[in-house]
Amino acid sequence: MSEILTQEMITEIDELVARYPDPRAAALPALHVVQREHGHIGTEAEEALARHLGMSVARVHEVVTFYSMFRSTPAGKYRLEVCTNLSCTLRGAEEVVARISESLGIGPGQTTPDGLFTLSAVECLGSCGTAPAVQVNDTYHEHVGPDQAAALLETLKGDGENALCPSAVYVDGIDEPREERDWERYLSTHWDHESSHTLERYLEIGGYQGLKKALAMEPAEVTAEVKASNLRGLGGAGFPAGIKWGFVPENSGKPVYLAVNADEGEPGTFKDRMFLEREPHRLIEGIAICCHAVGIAKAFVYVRGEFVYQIEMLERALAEARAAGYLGPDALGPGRDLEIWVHRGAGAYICGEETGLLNSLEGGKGWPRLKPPFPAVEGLWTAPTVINNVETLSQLPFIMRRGAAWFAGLGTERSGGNRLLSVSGHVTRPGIYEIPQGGATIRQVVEQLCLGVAGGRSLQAVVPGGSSSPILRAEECDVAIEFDAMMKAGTMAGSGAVIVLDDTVDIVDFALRTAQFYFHESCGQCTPCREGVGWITRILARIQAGRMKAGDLETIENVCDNIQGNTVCALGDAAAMPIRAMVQKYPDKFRAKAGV
Amino acid sequence: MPTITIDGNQIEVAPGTRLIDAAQTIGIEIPRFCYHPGLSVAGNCRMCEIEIEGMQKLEPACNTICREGMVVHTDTERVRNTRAAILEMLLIHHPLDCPICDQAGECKLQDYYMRHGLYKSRFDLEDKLGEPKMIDLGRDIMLDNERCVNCTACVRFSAEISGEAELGMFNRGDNSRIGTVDGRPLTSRYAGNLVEVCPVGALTSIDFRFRRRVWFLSSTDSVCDGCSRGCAIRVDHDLTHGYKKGGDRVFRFRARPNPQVNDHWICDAGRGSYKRIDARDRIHQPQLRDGTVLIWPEVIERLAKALGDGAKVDVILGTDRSCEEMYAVRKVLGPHARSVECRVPGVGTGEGDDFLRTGDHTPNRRGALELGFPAALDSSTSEVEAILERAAHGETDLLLVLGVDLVAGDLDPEAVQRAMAGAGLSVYSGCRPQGTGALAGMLLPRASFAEQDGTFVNHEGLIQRIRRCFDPVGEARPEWWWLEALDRARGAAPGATTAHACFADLAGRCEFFAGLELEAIDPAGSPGRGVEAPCAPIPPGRRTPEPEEALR
Repeated sequence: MSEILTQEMITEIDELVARYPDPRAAALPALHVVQREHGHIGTEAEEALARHLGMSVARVHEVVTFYSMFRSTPAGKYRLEVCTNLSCTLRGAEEVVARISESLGIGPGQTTPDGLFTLSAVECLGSCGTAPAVQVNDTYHEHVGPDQAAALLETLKGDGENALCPSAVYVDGIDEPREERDWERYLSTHWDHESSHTLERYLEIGGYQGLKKALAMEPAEVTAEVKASNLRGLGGAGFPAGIKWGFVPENSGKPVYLAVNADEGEPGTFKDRMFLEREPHRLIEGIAICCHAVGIAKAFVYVRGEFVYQIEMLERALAEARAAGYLGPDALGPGRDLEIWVHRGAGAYICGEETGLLNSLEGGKGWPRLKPPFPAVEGLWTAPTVINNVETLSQLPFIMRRGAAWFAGLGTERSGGNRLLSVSGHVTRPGIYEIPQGGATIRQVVEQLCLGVAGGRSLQAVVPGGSSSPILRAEECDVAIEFDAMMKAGTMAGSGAVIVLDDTVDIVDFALRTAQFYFHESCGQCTPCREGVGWITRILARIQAGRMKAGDLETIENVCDNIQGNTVCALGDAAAMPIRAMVQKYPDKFRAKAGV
Repeated sequence: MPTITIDGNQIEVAPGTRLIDAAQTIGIEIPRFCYHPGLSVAGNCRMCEIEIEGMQKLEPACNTICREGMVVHTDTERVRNTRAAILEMLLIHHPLDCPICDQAGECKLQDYYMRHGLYKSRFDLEDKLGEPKMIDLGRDIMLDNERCVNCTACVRFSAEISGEAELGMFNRGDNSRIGTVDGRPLTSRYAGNLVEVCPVGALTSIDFRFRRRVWFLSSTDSVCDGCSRGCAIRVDHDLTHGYKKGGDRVFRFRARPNPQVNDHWICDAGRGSYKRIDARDRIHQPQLRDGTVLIWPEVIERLAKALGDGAKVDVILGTDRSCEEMYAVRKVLGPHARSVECRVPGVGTGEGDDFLRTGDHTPNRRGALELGFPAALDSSTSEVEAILERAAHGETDLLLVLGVDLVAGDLDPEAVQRAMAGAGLSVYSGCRPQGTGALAGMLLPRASFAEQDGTFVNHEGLIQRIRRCFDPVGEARPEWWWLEALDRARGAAPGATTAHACFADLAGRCEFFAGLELEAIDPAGSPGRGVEAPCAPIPPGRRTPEPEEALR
């Protein structure tokens, strides 16, 4: 065998391969191995891996060129990846890039002549509550303003201290325990303990009792309980979880899989990573309950590739769970095995779309699939597949232990339980806030929970549910954060990511930045999204540069209309909706640019 | 059988039918780029979106299976607006190079713009992006990224049909590009199909590029004569530009869909074989070895004389002849010939593959078998060697070689030469002289398979039509024509003077063809008598007729 795949690498890759029913599914994790060893992935490596996994080199090359994290050429020793997405830009990421550029004498995409640093501006890292964020190789650095960036460079040039570490993001109820709330918090209550991620601690606080209770019930009873709880999908779509499980056909003659969506990529969202960091056993228990209910023996947790620390914590927890018998043979009862594998992504927002995630899990580009067939009928390897978000599954232990009635009673008529809000942007105290479904309005979140707009400035607007949700003007913010109420208000509760804009924000710039993100992340499959988002982005860039033409705003709206509803997946909608809303709600701000 | 309504027309369709195909059956073409009936459904171009009553969004007709009671509208304002919008988006970076693009005239983008677009572009020319053009991918394929609409049909063909999976769509989003890894050359022996699945001018044939505008081309349905598979083809030809001055008439073969034989595809060898039809060395006139040109009556006279009573006649027959030509050999020469031999080692055989191309590179060996000629592939040289031996020793009055280039095979070329010189009259009939023709006493011009009506029988027993796309070159004729003339000259009752009559005669006398008429042969071929559908190679135990029992 060539030097490209050493015996050690092959052993490691073969262990990965064994996790999947098809060796090609190991393409992404195997490419991570190759890149870790060689620093980049050249054509020869692609060929060697293609041979080893039994796929064509064109398929491997597609994967390497599709995902942002895979590099075809070598990079510097330290890769400085500055998040310049919405929340980080609101918090001054551009100045961070400028300071680093100035200090190192390189621009984004370039490497210093000594090979020490490569600088890039990247899309959302999921660290919006601690913006600006900079990822150095695998490690997240938070609250990196220009001065901190300069200091970081000095550290890296010196002792190179760059260890993985948990997030220091503010978590409501833990970091300021004296602040009382009108509601009970349960999701994040135990995250303050230094060992909250361990099995020992988890058992102390009643961990795996929900699973025990579920296992004493018939699977159908568990599903019925989840249906009765009004638990809704907290990845963003808000689809009732129990009903989703009910779509899985019985006795299809194929295995059923669970794909756990931990690809947390919606700009503004940083809550799923907290479950992985602080309480991974909660997720494992939730997975086990779901697998019992639906009859699943194999689950894959698709974690976004940047979350290296979170993957480490989850892997540790999985090892503990395995050793304790919560996973493995007969884990769910005699003859009912359960195995959970972590599948690491490689930098593509689209893999958070559930069928893009499936294709990525199978070892390909994250191109979403045409529906029908729906994943519950034909998902992973054409077998029925349930796809649930981390936060959704992490609710299950509570539902089992305390009952559907309790859970349903926490929220509104159609949305049960609490959820975590990720609040970022121009608030005094960004962070994670746990509220009951519909338990607070956006204004309450901004003014009461987050202590108001930062620096005493006034509120201009809020993006209430992740970057794809239509923007709300300050006067529109008295809407309760719950799926149906938000939809009625013409926007979305989405992933619970609240991005707050003060009165200094240039809406045109914000719209351009939003468009650029979707332009960067469009997978390229469907005509309207691939071409339309690029078109809008170019018009916005022109307007921002003061070269607006007559009819530009009408064209943007019209192109948004033509994108929305005309694509395989919802990314097209996700791009069209917020931009159209900004153009419609702030036409004067756009027109004002014409005079610049 | 679900019944659906499309634009007010109620139709019954087979279960599982796609809406886009159902509409086609009643003449409604729903525009599409990425959909190809021979490939998996991608649903990415969004051009085929239509309105279904009761559904909120427009749905892609390609991914919609017809359901009972479905009411579909393909021509509402909403649908029309969406089509125009999709076109507008596909065209924002598309180059304005239709005047120099070979796809022009058969380009979906161009056709649909005229039919469904015709808007004034709102996209700024200054924003238009350039892309690499003229990337030679090898195997006769030229890639133009600028013209690509990212439909992925080529990627799917490479992965699903030809199997090499050597094309990909690399990068992401707006940067997505079709190509091979590092631009390495294609290896597929079916690469020509890429040009056909490409709905636009992104993948064009290097061979065809800039040779003829497609609107000058006429198309005639036929069957490829490159091997015994008998793939359905379209012969694209143009007689209006310069061929009388010695220019070309045929410009390309394209695959013609035939689910029984080749689905939607043909191999590159077959595709490229069109060049033989207009080869520069086609025989135009009957002539003698010394170059003396004959007219056909002179030929008939000489042949009739050579075929006199008791004449010793041997025939070597190529299995690339039409059934009608072979039948005429059987009918006219059979009663006189000592032997008619089709088994010439090393001639007409070659490499096959596991897809379409067979190892028998002649189109009608099965027809020869059914007409009672011993035409098996696994032959020893003995029969042909015996014929040559007899001729070399002056024991043969007439040696007729019909289209078999004896020197190209495994035979000893000198033995061939001695035979051709030693026979009383040695005749070679063919489209091109090749090595053997040069040795013959008389050279006869044969009409190629594109210049005559008739039939081939493929290896699975499917009888398929070949058609006269245009007149034969010079004085070339189908061989049945002069064989029948010869028969008449020797006092036989007037026989067939058209291919149709020839076939009728054949069908009346040969069991395999019984009951068929030339015009009644299905465009997808008709199985010969005793051949069970779906067609298969001759089943073990089924015997083809012996020479004496071939004709009634």
